Amino acid sequence: MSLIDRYVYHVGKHLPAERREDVARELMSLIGDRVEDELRPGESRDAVILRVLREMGPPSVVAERYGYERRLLIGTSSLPAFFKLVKVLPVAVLALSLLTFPWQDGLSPTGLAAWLLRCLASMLLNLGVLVVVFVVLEQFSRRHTKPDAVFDPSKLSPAPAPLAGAKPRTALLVAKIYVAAMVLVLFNFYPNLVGVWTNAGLVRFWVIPLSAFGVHVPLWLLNVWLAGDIVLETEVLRQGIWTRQTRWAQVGLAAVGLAVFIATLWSSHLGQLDPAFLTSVGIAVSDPNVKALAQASRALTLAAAPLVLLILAHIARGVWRLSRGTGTAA
Amino acid sequence: MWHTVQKTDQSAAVPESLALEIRRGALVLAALAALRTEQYGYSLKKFLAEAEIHVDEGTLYPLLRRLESQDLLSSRWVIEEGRPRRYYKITNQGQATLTALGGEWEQLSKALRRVLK
Repeated sequence: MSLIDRYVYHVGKHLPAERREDVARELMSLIGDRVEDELRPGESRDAVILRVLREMGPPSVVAERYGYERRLLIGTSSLPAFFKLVKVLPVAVLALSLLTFPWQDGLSPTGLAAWLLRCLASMLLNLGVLVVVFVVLEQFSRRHTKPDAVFDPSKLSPAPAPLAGAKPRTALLVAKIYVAAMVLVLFNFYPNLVGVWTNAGLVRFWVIPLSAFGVHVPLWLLNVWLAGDIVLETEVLRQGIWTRQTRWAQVGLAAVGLAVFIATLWSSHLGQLDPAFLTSVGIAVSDPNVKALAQASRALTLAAAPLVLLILAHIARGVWRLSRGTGTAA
Repeated sequence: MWHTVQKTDQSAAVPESLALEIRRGALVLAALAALRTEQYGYSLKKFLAEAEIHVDEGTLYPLLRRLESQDLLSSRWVIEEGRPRRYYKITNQGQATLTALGGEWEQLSKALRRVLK
């Protein structure tokens, strides 16, 4: 990889994904013209390239001129991803808010107005959270971009080789971010809405997993997993490309997801409905609720095996992708 | 940075930030005027340099993009000597802006001359 390629790659890293290619093309053309123009007989081409690049300045400075980075709390490289998420925000919040719609109260104007107000408050809250996430990511990435005191183009690191499937599917990422956010909100604030219908004879029961006798979800681990997932996908959206680091993070998060799932099954009360336990808490074994819980337990255990396999396959796919990409180019 | 070649001792004493403020607006005018003839970025830079307006690539190229996004310039890619080059040209809207800005410049220049006397 030539020094010009490396330089252009480093400029592109600071630019929004959709502008990267165009600016890179223009920079290649400009540098090529200037090198040809300044090349004197007997002079080494590499020396001229080095001089031209040194005069142009550090990639971050060149990129900054294309984007006015310092004036923005969320940099230009992040803005397209930010706006993509903001556009979907009203739909996602409305979808989640439908779960809390006061159907049982009928469609009274007061109830509807209160619900709409809650939707609006939720949208503003989520917008605030989005801004905070992006600002934190932005500040983090800026802090890790050290300005060069004396810029030496020859010390620029090579661009990583493109990974298989390096271009992320934006719509999928946006959807995944909102699904993770919804699950996060549901489990933390509306646990009573998370449950399954199950039959006990002719009676149907709504089993709430987060109840004392339901499935015990390790909430802190679930939160870490979902928050990590949101941050990772937002970062990929911001960068516009999957890198080795983000792919490894994806594999790591899938492993955390598997840990959440296994921990949920392992510590679940559903699997521990032994008579001694039930008697100790004053519940008869013949109680219809116990039968319902036992059925739900069996269903969960049956469903668990293919899900574990699915998550393992997902992890294996991630590792396979990483082994296909060479990671760093020469 | 854009700097004139013929810097006098007096101009060298002017803080760079103040000098930049004056030059920034004038560069738009210079670029629009120069692009009445279609040119690619590097040839424009050289054209301006010959007119003793020295501007570095880091300033010129983002400016060209900004003017293009404002529909004052249009551009097209052409393969020349085996290398793609982006040619810029002033648009009708750019021409109208150039005329208006040129008038402003003349007026300001006359006024400043009177004030500086």
